[in-house]
Amino acid sequence: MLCWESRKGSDAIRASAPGHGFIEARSDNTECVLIRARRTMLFRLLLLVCMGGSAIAGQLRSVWEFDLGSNSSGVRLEVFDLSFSPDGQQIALVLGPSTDHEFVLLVATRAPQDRQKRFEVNPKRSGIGPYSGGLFLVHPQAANLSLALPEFGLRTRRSARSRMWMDHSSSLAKTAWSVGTRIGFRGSSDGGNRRTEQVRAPSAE
Amino acid sequence: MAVIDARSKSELRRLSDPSFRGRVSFAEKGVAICGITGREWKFRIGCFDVDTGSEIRRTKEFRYAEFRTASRAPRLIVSEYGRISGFIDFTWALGSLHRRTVWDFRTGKEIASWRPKQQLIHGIGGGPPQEQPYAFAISADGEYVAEGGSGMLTLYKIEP
Repeated sequence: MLCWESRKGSDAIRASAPGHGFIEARSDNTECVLIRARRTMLFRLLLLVCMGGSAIAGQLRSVWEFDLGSNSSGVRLEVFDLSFSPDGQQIALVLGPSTDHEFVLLVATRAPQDRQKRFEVNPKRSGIGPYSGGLFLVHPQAANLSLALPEFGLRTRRSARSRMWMDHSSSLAKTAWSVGTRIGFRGSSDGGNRRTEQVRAPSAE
Repeated sequence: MAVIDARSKSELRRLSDPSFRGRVSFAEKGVAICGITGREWKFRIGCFDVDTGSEIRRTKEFRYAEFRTASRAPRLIVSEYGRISGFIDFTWALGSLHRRTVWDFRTGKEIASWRPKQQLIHGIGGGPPQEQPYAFAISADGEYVAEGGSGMLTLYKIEP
């Protein structure tokens, strides 16, 4: 908005900018012209800056929030990893008060407060920095550790019968599997001596 | 890279190109496969047709990026990181997480973007608590995002 003292000179400005704005007379003996084109440009520029320089129209709308609580010492539970089930009905979380005390929690997507299952296993999913956030996470102290939750499947291809499985020979990714209602994980952190542990989940509700 | 049938353990296909770096993931019902491509500090997420090996689309360049795919939809979430300079040895080091973006690899559109909150993680290497971004997941249909940290779990609907 451009303002100046109300006097004859303003008429020249008014005449030189026809259609670009309107003149507003103010009680303090000034007149203001709002140049719409510049205002629009500034607004767009401001919007782009606020959005980090990209024109992304979408947003995340919060559906619900669920309080996972604290441990006995009042420490808020940290969430190390999470994943949706293939049908979207459940969310699996690896959480705990610290990396040494992780456990697995399944919550129902529709009603997380009503339906939960807790598994007292420590999958050591607390990755560091960019290496976190993958379904098959590797703990820095336990190379080749992987986790598959019941029906949380491996990557499926087209039909449930033809499951696909991939091993791309990376030190950060190894095989994972899912058998019935069992949770299984496998590690080979100590000189190639593989250890396998399986925990049977409670029967389905 | 080999695509292997999980039941028979037989190799179905071998993809010589692209050269992925690190983790790869199926997307869109196994029709596509996505992974990190590029070179150091100039990474892109690329998605490729599993049957033909042809490229579907690549993201723009990132200093560093991690991703998660929606298993039944052509969507993934890219976590974009910055880099910092090491003044002692004059090398680049990984910086903080800048933002997460939902990306559609069929249309190439960025559908939504946000900067995640941070949580304090205890017990890493026996040192003091470290700040880390909230953990997240994208649903198989690519319509929802779950994000968790500091004792809270939140479900979000992605609205284009």
